[in-house]
Amino acid sequence: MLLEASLAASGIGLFCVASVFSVACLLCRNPPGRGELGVSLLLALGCVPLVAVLLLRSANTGRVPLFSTFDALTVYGVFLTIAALCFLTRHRTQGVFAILSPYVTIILIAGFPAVGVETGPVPHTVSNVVLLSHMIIAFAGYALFSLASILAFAYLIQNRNFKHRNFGVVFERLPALETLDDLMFRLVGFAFLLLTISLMLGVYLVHQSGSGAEWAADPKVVATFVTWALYAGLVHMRANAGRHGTRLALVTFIGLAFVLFSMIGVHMVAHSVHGFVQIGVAAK
Amino acid sequence: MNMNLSVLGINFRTAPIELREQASFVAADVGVALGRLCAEFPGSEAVLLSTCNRTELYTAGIDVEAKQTALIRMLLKGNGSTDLSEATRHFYTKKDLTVAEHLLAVVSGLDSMVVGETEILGQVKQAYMLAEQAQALGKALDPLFQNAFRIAKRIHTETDLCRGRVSVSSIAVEFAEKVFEDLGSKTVMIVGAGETAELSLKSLIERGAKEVLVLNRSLERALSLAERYGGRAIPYDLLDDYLPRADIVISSTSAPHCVIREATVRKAVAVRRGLPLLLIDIAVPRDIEPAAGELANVYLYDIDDLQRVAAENLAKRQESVEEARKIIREGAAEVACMFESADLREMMRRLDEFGQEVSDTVLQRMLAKEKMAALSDEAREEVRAIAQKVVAKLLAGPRESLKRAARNGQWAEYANVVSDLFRFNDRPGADRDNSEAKNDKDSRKRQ
Repeated sequence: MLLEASLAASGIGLFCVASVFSVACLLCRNPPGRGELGVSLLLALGCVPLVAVLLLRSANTGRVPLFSTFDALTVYGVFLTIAALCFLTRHRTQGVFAILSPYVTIILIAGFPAVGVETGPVPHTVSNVVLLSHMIIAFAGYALFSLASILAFAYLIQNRNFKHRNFGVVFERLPALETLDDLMFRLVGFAFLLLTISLMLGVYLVHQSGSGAEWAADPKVVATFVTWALYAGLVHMRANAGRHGTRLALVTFIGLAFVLFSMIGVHMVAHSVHGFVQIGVAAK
Repeated sequence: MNMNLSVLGINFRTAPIELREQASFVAADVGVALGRLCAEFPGSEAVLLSTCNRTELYTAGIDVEAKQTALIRMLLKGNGSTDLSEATRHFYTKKDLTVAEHLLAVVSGLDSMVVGETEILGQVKQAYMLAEQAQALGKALDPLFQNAFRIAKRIHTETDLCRGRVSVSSIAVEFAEKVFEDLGSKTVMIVGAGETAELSLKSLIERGAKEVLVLNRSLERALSLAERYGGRAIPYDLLDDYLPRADIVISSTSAPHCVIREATVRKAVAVRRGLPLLLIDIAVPRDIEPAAGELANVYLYDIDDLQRVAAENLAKRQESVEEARKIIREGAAEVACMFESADLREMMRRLDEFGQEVSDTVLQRMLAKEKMAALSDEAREEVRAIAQKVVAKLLAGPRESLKRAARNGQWAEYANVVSDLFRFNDRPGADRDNSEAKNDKDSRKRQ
């Protein structure tokens, strides 16, 4: 427990340093050269102890670490960071890390109090491999949707800079509107595919468990389908109707609230059949 | 500094364009001129910098004051039609440490017509490379220019001297790059044919803009402009039809009223399905209805907006001038230290030579005496060793003082005193060194 907490704290500490450094790089008039590279390295280093603590928890409990608030938020945070490091560093997206790093840090801090929480038994009526795939693919999808929302936020800031004629350092450092728009929808498309696969696996699991009616009315299932429908609309608007611009960026940004609610929020406000996913310290 | 560094040149402040044109060198001519110069002054070094705003000849090992007329004639390429005495009036000469300061100001863009422009750094680097190819660089100019590049980079990164664009056309291009980043697939529409609009168009084409549409009330002028930039001339009354195709519109007509209405832009935006549209209106009175700028995904800037950004960037640059000057002063001091350490090594060598010479002379006279003839070879060697130790002990004090003076920035004074005490200046071959030391001293006094 102490080792897990220490590892998690060190990972979060590195994310905190990365956040301060990335914001400084965005706002300082003379940022250090290769500042973005430094932020990327700090984030990658921060993921190492977090992955270690997840592996440790997996070894201790004998199952994949996805069933507590700490596990869920840490996996989400790590997936999001890895996605950002893979996607953003390949494009001219300087400045976006100043939004991403603090966001991931807040997510990780929110999960930290539940670091030692033991989770309840997982129903053994379901195939573990399918359940694992269902969950991991869903988390990967959520991470990519969130990254798209972060890019959408950068788009809205840059749009505001243009409209209000704020041509300062933030304007200078954030990427071009078209770059953000393009990346945003590539991520949404990919994430939508992952969420669809995850939902299909979920339907298969329900079919296996033989309790269809109970699952169909489950708040988490409903919330996830609403999120899926929102992004389906977004993908349609872009891919079929060829829409671009501020409004779509706004919808992509708002999508983050749906993602967070269907991923974690729904467990806090309603009883779910997904109840084996233990939420918060209170579940201990 | 005994390198006899100097610079002889003209720039946009000291000379009219007619004279600068005569002293202008293309890259191919620079190598020839440097080769001729080095042949005329063996052992000398030279770098010739020629841009539209300046022509400067940096030299080492040439007495520029004495050879000024010949050098100016060379810079004017022996142009007989030029009144040499009149031309000389426009040339300036700098020597020793002031050369380093001047070069640093030039290479950092501080001495440029548009303060902080960065093109000059590339031009100086090219001049340096041409000098290197012409084998005109040596132990004085090579380290001087290398240090200048390093210090210019420091100024560019540590100050705002080169930050932000300061011309209306370059700001328009910057905005375009901040909306689209890659201009390779973008269509630029130019309405009217003002000079600034044309400059912006030129920059956008240089950055790879895919298609150019030219609209003008006079189709003839539109055709002429389109032909020049590989674009398409469009009849003026088809503006509404072609507007949705354009990603960037630059308007600069002399029309007394708006030529692009908000309703037209609204229709274009609807057709474009939210793709951003950048409108640059550099006409007075304005060509584009200001309400168009309120539409989503439309970014409209008029001449005041662009000039405001230019003024703000220029003000930021001006604020950085003092900061840049401070770095230049530090850089010049570093260059001076670098040359002084070379001087220090030279002075030490001369002290050693002096000591050796004194001990050899005295020993020779002493051992030549009859009463010393009985001394064995072993004893003679011992006497010689003792004499050398005495000399070394005597010189240890001055050597230590010189090293300390170099560290404390008092090198020039100490070097002169030591030279006087040991009569280095009266020795054969000291004439040249003497005049250089004097110049060096004068220049340091000026510091």
